[in-house]
Amino acid sequence: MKRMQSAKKALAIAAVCCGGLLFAQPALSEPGVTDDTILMGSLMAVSGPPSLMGKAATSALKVWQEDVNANGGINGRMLKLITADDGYVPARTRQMAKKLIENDKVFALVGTSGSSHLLAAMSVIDKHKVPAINTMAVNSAHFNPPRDSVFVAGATYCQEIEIAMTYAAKNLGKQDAKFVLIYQDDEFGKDMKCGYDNGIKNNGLADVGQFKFKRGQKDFSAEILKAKATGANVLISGGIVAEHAIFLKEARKIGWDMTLIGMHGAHLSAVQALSGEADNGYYTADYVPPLSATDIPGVKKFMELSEKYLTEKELKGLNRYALSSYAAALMMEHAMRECGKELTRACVIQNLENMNGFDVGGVMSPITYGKGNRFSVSGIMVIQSNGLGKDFKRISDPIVLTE
Amino acid sequence: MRSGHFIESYDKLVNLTDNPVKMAWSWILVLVLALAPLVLDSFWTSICATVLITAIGIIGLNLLVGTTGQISLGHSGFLAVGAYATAILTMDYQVPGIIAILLSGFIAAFFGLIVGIPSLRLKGLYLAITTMAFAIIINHVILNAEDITRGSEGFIIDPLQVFGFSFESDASIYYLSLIILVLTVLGALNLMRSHIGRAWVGIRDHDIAAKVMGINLTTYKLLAFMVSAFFAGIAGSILAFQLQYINVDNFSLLLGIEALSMIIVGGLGSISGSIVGVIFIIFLNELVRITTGIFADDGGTMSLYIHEMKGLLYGVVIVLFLRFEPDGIMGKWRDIKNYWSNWPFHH
Amino acid sequence: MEYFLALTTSGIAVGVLYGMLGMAYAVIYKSTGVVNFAQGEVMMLTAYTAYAIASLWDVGFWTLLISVTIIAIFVGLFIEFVFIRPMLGQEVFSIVMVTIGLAVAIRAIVVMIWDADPIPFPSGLPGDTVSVLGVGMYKSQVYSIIVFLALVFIMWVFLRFSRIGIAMRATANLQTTALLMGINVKRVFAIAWGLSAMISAVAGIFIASVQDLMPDMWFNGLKAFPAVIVGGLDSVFGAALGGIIIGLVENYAEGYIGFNLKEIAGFIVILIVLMIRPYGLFGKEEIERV
Repeated sequence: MKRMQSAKKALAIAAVCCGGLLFAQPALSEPGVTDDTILMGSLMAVSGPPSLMGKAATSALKVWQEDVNANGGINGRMLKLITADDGYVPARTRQMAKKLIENDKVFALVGTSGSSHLLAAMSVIDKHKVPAINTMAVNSAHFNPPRDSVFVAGATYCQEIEIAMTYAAKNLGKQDAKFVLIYQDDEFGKDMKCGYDNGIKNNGLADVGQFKFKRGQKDFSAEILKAKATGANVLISGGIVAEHAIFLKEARKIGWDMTLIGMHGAHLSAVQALSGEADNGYYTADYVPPLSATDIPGVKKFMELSEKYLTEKELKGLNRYALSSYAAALMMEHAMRECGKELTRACVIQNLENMNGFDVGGVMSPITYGKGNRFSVSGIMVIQSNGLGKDFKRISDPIVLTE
Repeated sequence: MRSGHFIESYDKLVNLTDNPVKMAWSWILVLVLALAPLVLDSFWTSICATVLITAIGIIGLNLLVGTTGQISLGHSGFLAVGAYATAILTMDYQVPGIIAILLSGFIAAFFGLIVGIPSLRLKGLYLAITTMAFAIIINHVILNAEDITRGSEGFIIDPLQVFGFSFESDASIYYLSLIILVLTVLGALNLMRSHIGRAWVGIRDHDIAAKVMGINLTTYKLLAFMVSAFFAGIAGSILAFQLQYINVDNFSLLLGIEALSMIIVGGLGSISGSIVGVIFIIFLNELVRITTGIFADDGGTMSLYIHEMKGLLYGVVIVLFLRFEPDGIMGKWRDIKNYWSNWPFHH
Repeated sequence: MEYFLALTTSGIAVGVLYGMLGMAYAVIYKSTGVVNFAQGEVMMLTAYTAYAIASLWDVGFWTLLISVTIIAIFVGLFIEFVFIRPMLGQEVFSIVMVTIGLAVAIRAIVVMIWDADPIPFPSGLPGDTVSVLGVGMYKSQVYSIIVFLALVFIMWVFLRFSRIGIAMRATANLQTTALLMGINVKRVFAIAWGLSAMISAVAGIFIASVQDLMPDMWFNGLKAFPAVIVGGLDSVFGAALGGIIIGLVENYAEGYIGFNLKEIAGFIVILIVLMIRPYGLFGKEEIERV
């Protein structure tokens, strides 16, 4: 009830703030909104190698759309979702953002592709003040400095790795272990290194080596040999998806007994499948739970809806990105519902800004934004691979990094 | 009855064009292009701006590949150099945008000089692979020289400012590219009719013969690389201002190959061919996107393979053109023109 | 010393794969004067085909290897017949561009058939590792070295003693003379493409069993360029040796220098080699007469 009131108050403030804009154009001519439909957009890579992520996210948005529409839409308006494929190339993301916003005139964006991809599209989104939620690839450049209409939730890779290392030191008996890092030569890799450095420093761990590799590299024999030669027994894997599996396999080949810890990209069944016998129960850190964690209400609901609305193939393609995308959709839905009949971008932005502990069914930590705060940090779970059972197991509760 | 086209004096030969009709049509085309943004919406204006920018770079590539006969698979490298030069100059050194565009061209030309040096010793495919190595190394340097290039994080670039006017809208970028393209075309045409252009053609047709005839291979080959890289650099620079964000992903090796496919489709060694090729390939892309219904709301399987469809079509177009129309669209156009103007004595 | 040995063995293990791809390039270049830019893609296509076969029938490794190389020969002949033969008499540049077009198309086709997600490769080999000189290696890597040596030997015998091999060398030497001597140059071209596809199929199976199937595995083709350039485009054995050189240089560069040099080390090596010998280490200098 209190939230409702504050939302109304916020609406009033928004109306005053954006008065000029509102008066300049009648409220009903808001782009993408008609009497009975709302046009929503999503930027996603659904072709090419990164489509692992985009396809799952797109399926989740489909589930959300079907579910909302089956229950009477948002204040009587049905959702219509357009997914624009950027093929994971930043220049194309920008072009597709222009297409969605300026041509198709979507009301808001519930998906923003990858990290540098959102950066490329940022000037377009910012210019039109289109509400956009990013829960897929978190980069501090997205919310620092804060953009009016771009909301980010989740955790940076830096936070994920630091928490996983802290957990390993405290709870997995790795306090006296030797740590080594192999990371990609880009901004993603830099974020991994940030987490690694913090993890080493804040827990007083032993860092015995850091090695870079080139994006798209396939042969890691030299890197793993170097890492083994340092005498390390915990490998922080700064790979994205396939690299985790290659590291595990190379290590097994040269007889290196180590524990692998990776970011949430390792939280994919594809990594388990590629590792095969080399999967020694590696660890990963993620801000969404495994799909099998149906004790969490949001996950349970999502899986039930998925069985209802998705094809066999789409169901098989679901992964953690589906859950994070679903959380973004729930946030957007809430912000739009609160606006009532008078749906405007300014109102949705205001409602998102006012979110304080908004519950996304436990799929992610409660969402909180504020004035000048466009990042809602999520708790991070440590998850262990159970390759034989083709499953992932949560071994910790969500941990929030305290500064 | 007109039974052919004869050039009777040397003046006529070195003229830009001896045909007033052609001249008139060219200016009408420019006028139409100038009015285009008034009827197009913002999205299509930006696509058209992309066409114009690409054409600038492709004309440069065609001077090198089509006119001088030196194959380059690494032009994405020069484009990257131009774009990053602009980003660094304007953002870190506060160089005025319009000067940065020119400087980017010169910096790219300098790299062209370096890449051109192997061309003095290497030929054909060895040279092609060396230029490819250059593009790969440039990408590597951009990723690793983080202090200068911001690494893979990418560069956010402010819109171009000229005398207080900000080139922010798509139309303004379109006009900027149009002006520079017209200058590029005039420059390239003038180069082609001068002794430089003729020397290049000589090198392409037979470099040893050209050398015997007194053409300095070192000078002219290096000049071709520099001029070509200069145009690519300018194109990269405007691209940076258009995108306002660049990172290495925008300059993949595939871009260099796409560029080659454009000059093959348009016509090797022809300026108008370069432009036609760019238009053909870029609009082919858009056509695929629209026809495969990428925006199909049911997310059908076809739309999932959109980039694969594009790739397949690319491949097929290149193969078909080389097989059936090796002179490109401009070659076909010439054939058709000759057919009608010489009718019934065509052969 | 153990570290050095480990770098060396893994360098050789990668090097033989480059070497095989390099030989595949060289066989075509030697007899037709064309670099096949679709070599990596042909390799990828055959590797995915092998996956399709292995997931349909439970065949052992050697049966898989042999059946796929036979299929690959037909793929090579098909490409030559449909795409390359009609281009005979055109400039080399045009034919090379055809292979580039082909490369782009094959990449697209592979993703359209098998999707873009990585697939574990069922090589039919036990996944366990063996110790060679105290260094762990996959069985498939040991096999790849043996097969590589066998391949080099077979190629040597073939080019040196068989009628077709001699015809190929004659064609490489001077096409017109070969034609005048009654050699069926068209057939030589076809055989070269078939042979090259066969060699890349062998490479493809070994690459896939180490790296798994991914739609960007064609990139191995580009990475094998330095091998064939170092050796000389027209020297089959030079390419084989070049592969091992590049594999070792990459691994030593990474192992002792670092800075992520591995991925571009090969390209730096070719820049240096070409500056000194513009036709590669073992390539034959073309003397042009006007």
